[in-house]
Amino acid sequence: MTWVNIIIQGILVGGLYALFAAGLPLIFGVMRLVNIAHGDLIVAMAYLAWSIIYITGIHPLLSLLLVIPIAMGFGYVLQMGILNRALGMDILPPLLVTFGMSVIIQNGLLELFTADTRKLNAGALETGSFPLLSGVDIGYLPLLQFGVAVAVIAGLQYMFYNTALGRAFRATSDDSETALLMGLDKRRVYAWAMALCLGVVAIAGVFLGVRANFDPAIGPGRLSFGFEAVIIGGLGNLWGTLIGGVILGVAQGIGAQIHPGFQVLAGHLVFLLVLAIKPKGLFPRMHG
Amino acid sequence: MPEGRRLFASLSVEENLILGGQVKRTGPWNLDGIYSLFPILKEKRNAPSTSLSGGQQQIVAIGRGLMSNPDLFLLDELSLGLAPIVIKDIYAMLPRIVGNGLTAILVEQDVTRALDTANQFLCIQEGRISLEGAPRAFSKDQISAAYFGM
Amino acid sequence: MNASIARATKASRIAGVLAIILIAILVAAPWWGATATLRLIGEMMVYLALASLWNLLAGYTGLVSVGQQAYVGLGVYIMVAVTIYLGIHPYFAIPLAGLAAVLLSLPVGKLVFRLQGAYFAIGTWVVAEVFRLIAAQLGSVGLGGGSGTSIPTDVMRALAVNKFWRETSIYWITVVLGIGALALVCGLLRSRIGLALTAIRDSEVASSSLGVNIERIKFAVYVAVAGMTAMVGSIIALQKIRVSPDAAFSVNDWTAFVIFIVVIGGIGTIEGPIVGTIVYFLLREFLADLGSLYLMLLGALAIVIMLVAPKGIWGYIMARWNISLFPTGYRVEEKK
Repeated sequence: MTWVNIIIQGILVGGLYALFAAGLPLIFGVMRLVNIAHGDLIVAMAYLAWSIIYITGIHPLLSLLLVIPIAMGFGYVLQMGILNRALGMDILPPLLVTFGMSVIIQNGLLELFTADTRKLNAGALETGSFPLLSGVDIGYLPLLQFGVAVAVIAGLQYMFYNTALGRAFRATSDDSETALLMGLDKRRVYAWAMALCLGVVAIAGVFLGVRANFDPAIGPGRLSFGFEAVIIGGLGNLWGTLIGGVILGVAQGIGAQIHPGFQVLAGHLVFLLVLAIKPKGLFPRMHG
Repeated sequence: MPEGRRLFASLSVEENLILGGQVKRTGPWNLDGIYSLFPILKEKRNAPSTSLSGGQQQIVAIGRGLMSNPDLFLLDELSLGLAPIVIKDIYAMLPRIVGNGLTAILVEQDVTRALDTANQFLCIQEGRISLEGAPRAFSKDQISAAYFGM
Repeated sequence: MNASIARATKASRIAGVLAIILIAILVAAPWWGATATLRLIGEMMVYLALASLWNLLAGYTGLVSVGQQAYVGLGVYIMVAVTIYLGIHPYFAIPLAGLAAVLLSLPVGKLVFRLQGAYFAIGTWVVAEVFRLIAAQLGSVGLGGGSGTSIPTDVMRALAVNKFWRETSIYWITVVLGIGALALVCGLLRSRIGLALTAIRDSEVASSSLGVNIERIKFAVYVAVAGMTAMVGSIIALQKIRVSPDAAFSVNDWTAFVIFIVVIGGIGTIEGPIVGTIVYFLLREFLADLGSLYLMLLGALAIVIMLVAPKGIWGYIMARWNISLFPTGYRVEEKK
């Protein structure tokens, strides 16, 4: 029964990894940018939530009401102020600028909060669970996490294909010059995309903080999990990213069972395996 | 209407048209109007825009431009990359488009076609207007001379 | 008018003479400098080498890797492993590290080359993490595991007869590697490969249509850089003596600082890493006490430079005064 439990827990944690990942294909799809500071931003959001909770004492999930708008505002400003300037024909500037951002965020958090680990306390939600099968307990938190991941991905899909904003994203990504003819300023479109991405990052950050201890240095690791979920699942396919996250979660769970120190490594190895056998991922969907 | 059509590949026909109306100016053109003028678009409204034939894509591009209810409609290289019979059909539609008092400026390589359709023409050589007026007022040779500068 | 094609500029000829003098001074350092000075210059040489190599990879070949620490750490552990287990003399461990890295970079390269752009970058980081995690598990084979190990004193003694010559030989090796990396980059760029790289950088489409095999050249550069990076890693092990997975595979030490050096100095120029290394060590002298603030400053500086003066300090100098210190370009010279 333990193996079934491991797999189920792995599936549930895959939801969290899909949350880490969700913003990445959105931004890449709209503006061909991969934000190296993505993981650090997730951690920064966890710290933001922690600070808000420290001041107000509200429940972490409630803090989302504040964290999400702040994150989105920050994303808009970040894109308009810095990242729009870095985007262009050359591949180096966006990479190096976001790399610089990653270093700044990590060290900024270190200065502000020290290297001590923190955690967001969600009270009963964390400890409660219900039995699914004998030997298999489903925790409320992991289930909620997975549900939120599904909701976020469904929301993003809907937005992308069924709303004016999504149309703007797709059109600008196809041909920003012609989009300009339609009154779509790509700088603003990109800023909205980044705002949306950071909104998702905020959700990911809060759930990260509730689930486990966090410290300023774990950003790149979270980015790698999100990135691996995207690559395993397949480029251009958000649902594939969810599946990728699940596969990663399960791989890590099995790895942890073999040897505690093997957990993260197992995930990396599965990722490299998929990269070797199916470089475009398991369910790639390239359009245009 | 841009040279080479430049439809949004990720968008369907209808989405391309809707995007054209993004600017939200008032005027006679809306989605229903475009569809009644060009029924083929209604038929293919949900198809990916780039899955249509060249001529049909051209119509989508025209429709998209009209959706913004312009006062002045610029058509850049209307016949570019299209088969002669398709060009003939598209030019046949032009009178209906400019019907409601819309002024259209046509940039064309296919001089004969353009001259047959236009009320006024301008021949521009190296940034200077070399000849202008009503097409019927000039002979073919005069226009060739102005166009090629010979 | 009689014209000929020359490779060197007047500036590069002067620089050539100055360089020879400078190298002579560097080589003589064990006699005019204190141990602390040797250590400092040795560190600078290490960073100069790493920066030149990363610049070749990213600035000239367009392969932005944030995972070069994989090969640095590999070099460190090869040095430790072969000297302890195979009893090989440390001097020979250095080329062995290079060879091991070349061999390992073949399958690794094949994998990461399946990714493009920023995904490639993250992929290289993941590979480095895999190396680090594996190294942390090596406790059972006596390589110290997570907490690391040290190079035994008898190995260090094997380097030379006494402390002075030990320090000197380690120092000379770093000078050879530092200057060597520069020479490698310069030589490569002067060669047909360099011409191909510049063509690729200017236009991939055009150069591939001319038959330039882009993928093969990029792969070859990746492998070569991996090899040399590992050799630098192996000397780092001798410099530090104490090794641990976190230190050997540190992103901060072997990638972040290196990237900052190259970006600030001038990416895509040979002189850039030199300028960058000097600037970095100057900044470190005065600001390192600030700890993480110092790193934030470096990051901010790199961002500002990327947005405002993407070619860095040297790029600015080169554009402003039209100087080039290394004879890699072509000029038409009039014969008088």
